[in-house]
Amino acid sequence: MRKRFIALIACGALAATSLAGFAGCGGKTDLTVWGPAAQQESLKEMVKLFKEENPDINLSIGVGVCGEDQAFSQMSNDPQSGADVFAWANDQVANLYAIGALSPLTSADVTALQSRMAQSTIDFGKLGSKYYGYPYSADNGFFLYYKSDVVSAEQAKTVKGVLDACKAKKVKFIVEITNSWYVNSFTFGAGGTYDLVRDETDGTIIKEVQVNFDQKAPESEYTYGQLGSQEVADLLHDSTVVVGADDVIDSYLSSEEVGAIVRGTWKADDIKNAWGDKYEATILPDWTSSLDGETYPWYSFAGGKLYGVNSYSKHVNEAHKLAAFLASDKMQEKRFDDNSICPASTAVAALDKVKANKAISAFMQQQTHSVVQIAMPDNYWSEGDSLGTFLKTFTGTATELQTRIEQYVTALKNAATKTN
Amino acid sequence: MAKTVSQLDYLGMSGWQKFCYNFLQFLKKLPVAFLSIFTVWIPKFARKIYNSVKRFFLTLWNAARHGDWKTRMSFLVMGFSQFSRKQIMRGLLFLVFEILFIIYMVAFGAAQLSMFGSLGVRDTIQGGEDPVTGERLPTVVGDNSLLILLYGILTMIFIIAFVYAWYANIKAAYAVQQYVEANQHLTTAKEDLNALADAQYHKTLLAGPLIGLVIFTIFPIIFMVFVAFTNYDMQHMPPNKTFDWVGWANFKSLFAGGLSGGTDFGRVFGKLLLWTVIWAIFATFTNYILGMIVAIMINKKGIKLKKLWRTVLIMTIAVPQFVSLLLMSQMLADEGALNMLFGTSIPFLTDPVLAKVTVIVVNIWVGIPFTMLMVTGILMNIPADLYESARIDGAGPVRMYFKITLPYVLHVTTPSLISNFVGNINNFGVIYLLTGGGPSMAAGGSGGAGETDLLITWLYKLIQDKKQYGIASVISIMMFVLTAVISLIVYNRSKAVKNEEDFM
Amino acid sequence: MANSVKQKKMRSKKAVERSTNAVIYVILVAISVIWLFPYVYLLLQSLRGEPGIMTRYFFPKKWTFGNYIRLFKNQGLSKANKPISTGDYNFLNWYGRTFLIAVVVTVIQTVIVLVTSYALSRMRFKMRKPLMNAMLILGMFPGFMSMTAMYFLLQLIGLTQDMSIVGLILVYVGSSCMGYYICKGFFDTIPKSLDEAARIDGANRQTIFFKIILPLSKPIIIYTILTSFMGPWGEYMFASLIANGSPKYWNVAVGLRDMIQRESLAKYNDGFQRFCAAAVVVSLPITILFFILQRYYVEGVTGGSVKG
Repeated sequence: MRKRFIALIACGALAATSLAGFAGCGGKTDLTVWGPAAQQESLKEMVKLFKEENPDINLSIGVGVCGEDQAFSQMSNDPQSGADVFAWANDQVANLYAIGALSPLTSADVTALQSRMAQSTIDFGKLGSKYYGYPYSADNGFFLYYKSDVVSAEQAKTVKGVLDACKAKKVKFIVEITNSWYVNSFTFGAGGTYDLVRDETDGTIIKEVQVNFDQKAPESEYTYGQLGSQEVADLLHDSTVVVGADDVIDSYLSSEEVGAIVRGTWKADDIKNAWGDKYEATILPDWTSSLDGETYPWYSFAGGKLYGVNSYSKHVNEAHKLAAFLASDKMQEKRFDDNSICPASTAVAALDKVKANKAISAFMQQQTHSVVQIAMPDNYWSEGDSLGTFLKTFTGTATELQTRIEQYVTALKNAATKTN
Repeated sequence: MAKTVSQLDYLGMSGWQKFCYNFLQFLKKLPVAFLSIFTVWIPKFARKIYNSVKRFFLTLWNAARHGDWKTRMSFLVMGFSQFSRKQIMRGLLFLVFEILFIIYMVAFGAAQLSMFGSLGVRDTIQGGEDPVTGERLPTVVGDNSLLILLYGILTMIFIIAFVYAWYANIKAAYAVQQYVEANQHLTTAKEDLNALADAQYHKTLLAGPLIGLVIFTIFPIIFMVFVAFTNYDMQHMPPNKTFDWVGWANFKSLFAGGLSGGTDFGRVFGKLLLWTVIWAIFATFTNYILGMIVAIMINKKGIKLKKLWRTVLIMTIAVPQFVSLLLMSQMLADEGALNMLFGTSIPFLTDPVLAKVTVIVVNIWVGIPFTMLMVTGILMNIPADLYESARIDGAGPVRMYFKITLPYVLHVTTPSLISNFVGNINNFGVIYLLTGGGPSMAAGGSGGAGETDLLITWLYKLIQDKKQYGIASVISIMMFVLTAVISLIVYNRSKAVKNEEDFM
Repeated sequence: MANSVKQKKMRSKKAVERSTNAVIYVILVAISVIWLFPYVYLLLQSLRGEPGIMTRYFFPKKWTFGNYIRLFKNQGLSKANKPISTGDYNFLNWYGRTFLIAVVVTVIQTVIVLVTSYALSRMRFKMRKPLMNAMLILGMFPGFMSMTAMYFLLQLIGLTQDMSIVGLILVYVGSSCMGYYICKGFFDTIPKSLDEAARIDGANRQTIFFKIILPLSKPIIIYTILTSFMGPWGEYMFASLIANGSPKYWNVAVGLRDMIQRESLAKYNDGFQRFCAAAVVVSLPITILFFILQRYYVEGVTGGSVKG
């Protein structure tokens, strides 16, 4: 009423025409759902299926575009006009919670999820003591792709093997290790840990950042950070290694100058198309530190994507129903069929056709050598990038490296909210 | 203090000396000018306000004391005096305005204003589930501080407009009464309309543009100034959580270092301010000097195909700048076209030092054509007889350049040079589209700031990514004061040098 | 004897002149190459037939107009090299919206600028100086700081999303009177005696504006039209905010910026080529317009800003 009134004062005829649009809605349940651009067609079909399954509700569902990693930036401007149901990546949970954009799941919803997937997967949507999303994909991680006529299965087990094999054939090994997503993967492999202690009631408040990169690894005279970062620096100085994003991979694939790639499932199709029957995927290789001569595993991040419900939705119950449907086993299977998206459900992952997908089974194996990607504060990414830039040109001693690691750790710890 | 040179000495200086002298004078005057905000402008402004308030009440008092009942009635019913004295149109306008205002206040404004002090108290209660039945509970949406603030300011603007109209109404009412008493002619509606096309034509012309200015520029600025005194940030995102007035806390945290967000805002602010100034100096002078050299080369006698060279350079103006910059960012990326084509891996945009050089160089690429065009225009305006007489005196081309061309160009372009400087402080596009502020700053909390971030792009990050509205507002106020003072000094100085009226 | 010395001097002077000119030509050619290189690259890439994002060679191996055709058909090449629909990411839609916005903004903004400049140049009234100073410094406030306020203001009157064209136009023209500076500078150079002569003939201010000032102001009117028209094409921030996540409400700047994001490039085989094609299509009308009206632009820049 108020709105209409001031609208008339302010804008007269213009507003009147726009208001005419609102007059039409009756007993319909209007929902909007946002999903990633690449899955639009698939999502539209899923919405159609949902309508067919729920003939008792008079549904009208609009489909919009929003990448899982863009959920916060798109929601934050005005959560009240955001979509009712939207896809988001698990590292956004704290930010989305802060703007009140996530409606929590009931315990019944959580129980239903527990019968279908691992607790660690359900935890993607956890903040404080509540759960905020229905996981539909656990595909956020990286592993090794290799070309079987360059690298043998045996050589693919160690970094040195991969490098030697590539060197022998004069092709490259592409890994984007200066990027903050990858830069600590050796440090984690050596035993480094990073964790956040959040406030119980307000999940947006970080009380403490627990990070041990600057501490000595057991039975070693070096710290986790030294071991991992030295390996990054070593790789960066190896002429066989190319640091590059997806487009670089494309370019090297087209000129057939690459023998091994570290990347996630999203690049699987391109690599498969280029390599044909020589295409292989497996767990990340082990590496031997140039500092202490020990061999350590190479760790990946593990993260996932979820469908969540906007807590400002006018039809919360229907919206939850839709979100749960979009994350159901059947839809996860459809998503796998349509877009080769790695499922979150254990039942779907166990299907033969999923197992036959080399990339996804490599990803599944990698789970044992993974660190769950929690909702990192922004500085984790900016500091990681900055460390990566530093390592590009680093040629100093282990002590100098340790100084930089200590700086890095101090910076990471800054993310904790200071209380006066 | 600054040693001022006599008029005669000044005229005796060479072009460079004049220019350097002017520029040094400008820099020397800057702190004084900043101080003058407090010593001159604010007192002057305060005196003006005091005078206006005094006049306001005097007028009202006069109208109330000496006015007849019709005039006094206008205190309550706007336009009454005019109505009753047959100035129907004016009266009607006043009355309609009053009625609209009352409706607005009753239906909307009063309620908004009443919450302005607290900015709302109820946080949103998230739904969750009923502990007994396990049913989903609906979300109870709380007060939206943002909208309360926004509508509150809107209402205040309306109130100020109303008070002004009310005052104008009383003043006019009393004036009309005096006119009638003195048996003078009252303007008719037709005469009023005619005046609006002649003596009062500026009112007709400026009414629309100024309403736009108030709504789309002044209102948002007032809004952001108010936000600077609130704790509107990630922890207080309306409508989920209300935000509150926090007084000067944001200003303190910027200058005393570290408060919310865990970053040392003051330090980053200082660092970025330094880079912003360095960038603005380099971006301005490289463009200026190189652009002038290019213009002189193209315009040199004996150089053919002048039009072709000019056209080539103008491409960067003609092609929308965002296209050029997006293209550049792609070409200069680590795996971009340049590195690919030449098989190199030069970190144009990712190395902290090189990235700074790159943005300046790309800015030269974007900016030279503008300078070139401007200088070309000036070169054509230099009277030919100046050169002629110099040639008779036996001056060579180099001497003519330093004696005639350079002083002339410098003299004419000094104002635009300094306004370019201010423009470069706020140059959002080049940095945002090229590097996005990156690469990340080395260790130490940096509030999301990257090595090439200017204050303005950092502000954008603070708002878009971090939702630090409070602090961001403070920073934008600081920047605003900085740039506004510089430009005011420059423009008023250059106006003093060549008086506007001289042209007519 | 003396004559030959003079001749020698002349000759050497000529030689110096010639070698200076040669150096200048070399520099100018180098500059032209640097300035044109990115645009030539853009054009070549838009005509490239082979898939993939970047190539390590300059000239395409296969020439094609396919990128343009797909751009207009709202298609992209899938990873399997099959044309697929790009859905809401519809370039023609963005283009049409931006064009419409640019035209309306040009009309309104030109009127506002002319009108404001005339009032400030020719009329003398109490608030003139403060107004000029205020307009000068208000433009220094970082524009995006007002986005939040403006967004909710427009939402209040229902001008986001579906009505975002109207909303954007309002925002773009809302503060255009602040761009009076150059135009006023131009008006200042028109002799005031013309006004006075007309006033003696009984013309009022309005008549003077329409009958005397405007006909003399062709260069500055065209300059204003040109700059107002170019403005909306590059606006990014508000256009993306007001669309609130729906690509159908974007303009070309937001659209093009999205086309070149990693995620979008990775989706298609011809992402980069179509971006280049789109950039060419966006630049073309403005470039043509610009070159036709170049003379006026130069007059505007030099006339208004320097004399002002």
